[in-house]
Amino acid sequence: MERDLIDAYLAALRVRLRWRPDVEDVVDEVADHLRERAERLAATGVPQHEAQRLTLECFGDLGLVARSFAQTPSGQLAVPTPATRLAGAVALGAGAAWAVAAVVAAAGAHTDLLTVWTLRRYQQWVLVLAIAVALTTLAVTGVLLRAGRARTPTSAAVVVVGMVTVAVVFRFGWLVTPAMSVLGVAVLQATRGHAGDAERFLRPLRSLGAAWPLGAAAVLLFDEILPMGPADRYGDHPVAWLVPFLACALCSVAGLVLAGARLCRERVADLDDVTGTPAGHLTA
Amino acid sequence: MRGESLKGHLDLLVLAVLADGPLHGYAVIDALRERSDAAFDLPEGTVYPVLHRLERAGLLASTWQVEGGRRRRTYHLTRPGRGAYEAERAAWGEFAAAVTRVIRGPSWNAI
Repeated sequence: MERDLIDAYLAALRVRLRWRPDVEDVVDEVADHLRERAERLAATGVPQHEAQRLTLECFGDLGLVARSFAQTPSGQLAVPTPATRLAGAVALGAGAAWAVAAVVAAAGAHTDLLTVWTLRRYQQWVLVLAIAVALTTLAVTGVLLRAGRARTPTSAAVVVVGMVTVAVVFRFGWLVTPAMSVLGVAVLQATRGHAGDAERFLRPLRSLGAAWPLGAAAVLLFDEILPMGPADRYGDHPVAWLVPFLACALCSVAGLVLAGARLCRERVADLDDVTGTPAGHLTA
Repeated sequence: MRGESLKGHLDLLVLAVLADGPLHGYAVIDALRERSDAAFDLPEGTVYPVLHRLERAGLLASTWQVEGGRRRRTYHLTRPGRGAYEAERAAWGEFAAAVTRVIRGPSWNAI
């Protein structure tokens, strides 16, 4: 008895698209197409095995079809890879770093609003901030890679702005909120537009990207224009600096943990994987 | 015409085919072939990612039915999809007319 070529093709397609959450829907849809066409051909007198072979030939080489499901309109691949999974772990680390930065800031590192400001706490905080910004930049780059947007000018801008922000924060930690606002704008630019399947990774980053410019605006508004709370010995208003920073840091924690967890949960795609399937040669 | 030449135009072609009413993937591909007099040499499997992308962009919507024991997905244009189709069609008409004028050349136009 001759093997069913369509079944073999579908099994191989399932393996190659296993990274997609809707893989079963895709396979069902393709199965409907292939069976319909093969049946129509067979109805014209073509032997069943030949009808299946011709059907698969028209449908396209397995590798080509699997790649077309993974490509963005610009031709870049948007699939989970070991690098994007690593970026997920980095995003979780970045989220943890922002959480620590928020706690240390509230404990007297940023202002003396809640407790007494000390130089030692400030230096610890600056170190944590630099780590948080660096990890955030890496995580955002990984998400853009997953969305098939790694090779774009806006992605390059995120990397450059991220590196500059690390340097600025390391030297002037207290300026973290305004400095991060520039990186936030770069992230918003890089994540603009619908990204298909990758929307679930980009959406959390957009909230992170929007939070920092809003935080910087709040600092400007409540420190300079409409001063809020008592002034410290430098004439600054601790409320205007600490509260926006805490809000932005917590938004960053939420966005990075959400994106990171989603990236880590994905199955790595292997678009060339035909091990154990006979269908890799079907349409060669 | 090879699939490579169709890149960038396939969205409009798919929207045009679906502008006449809901169709499942196989019927979309059949309609593309018939309406182009089989001019497009396109691997059929590469049309499905286009349908999925247009759906994610909100230009198409789909429903599932069971027919003959098989699950079948049918696509239709959404309101934004119809608007996008009308806009793209108008833009293509202007573009094609301009290209045609250039290709014909001044001597042809002078006739």
